Amino acid sequence: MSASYEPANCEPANCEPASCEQAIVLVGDLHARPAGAFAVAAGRFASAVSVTAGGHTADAKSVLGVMGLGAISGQHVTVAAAGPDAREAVAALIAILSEATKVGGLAEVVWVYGCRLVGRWVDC
Amino acid sequence: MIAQPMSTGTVGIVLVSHSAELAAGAAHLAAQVSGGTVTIVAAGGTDDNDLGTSAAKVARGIAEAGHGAGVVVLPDLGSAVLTVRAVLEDYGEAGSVLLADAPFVEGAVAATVTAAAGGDLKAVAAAAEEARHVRKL
Repeated sequence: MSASYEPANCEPANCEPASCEQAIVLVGDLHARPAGAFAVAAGRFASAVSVTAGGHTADAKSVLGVMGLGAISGQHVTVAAAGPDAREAVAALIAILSEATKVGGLAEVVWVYGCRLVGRWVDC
Repeated sequence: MIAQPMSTGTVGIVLVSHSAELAAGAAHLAAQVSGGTVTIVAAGGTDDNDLGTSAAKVARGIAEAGHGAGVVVLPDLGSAVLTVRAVLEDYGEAGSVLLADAPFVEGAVAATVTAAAGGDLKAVAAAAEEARHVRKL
């Protein structure tokens, strides 16, 4: 799985020095716990980060905004960041989306085993 | 009262509800969504766990949650505010405690997630208060 954490789409075409964008197809619904993990991780980056699904965009650092997107399995979700750590932010958040929405839930995947599961792209 | 493991440096949260069960449930939910790294104290019910609020529980909650970067207190209904204000009047370092005007459940979740991300006292209180403006539908 580690290969999928590489921010492949983030370089170089989609990444300016201070902005980055990447999309993912959700493999599960974006429920409260994955949305929480996503927003906690987003809040640790200096960059402004947004997340778009179904034509609606939310501040990735707002857990209520992220949950309010109602993003479900099979939907395209785009994460975009602008700022000094934009590339790292997008890579980390895409990794969380790919892990956290897997069937079986986030709790076992991210919170129990910690952020190491999403590789060096999450600093926590 | 429910206390999550203390985490030095993050803002602590105190949930003041007329119902002990409501405060405990909101604390449990907020801890689950935020990953369990923030101190969340449920201060619900009267001293004999009837419906109502307890200045003693609120004071203990603030002390218990106050080992990090300050405390944000969320009341459920208006009269809980009176109890919290009475406690804060007697509290020496009121500057490190903010009372947030926010929807109880959404505010608790938003505040805790922002605290878990390392937000400071003002940011955590603001996250709770912004919960009022986020649509669910």
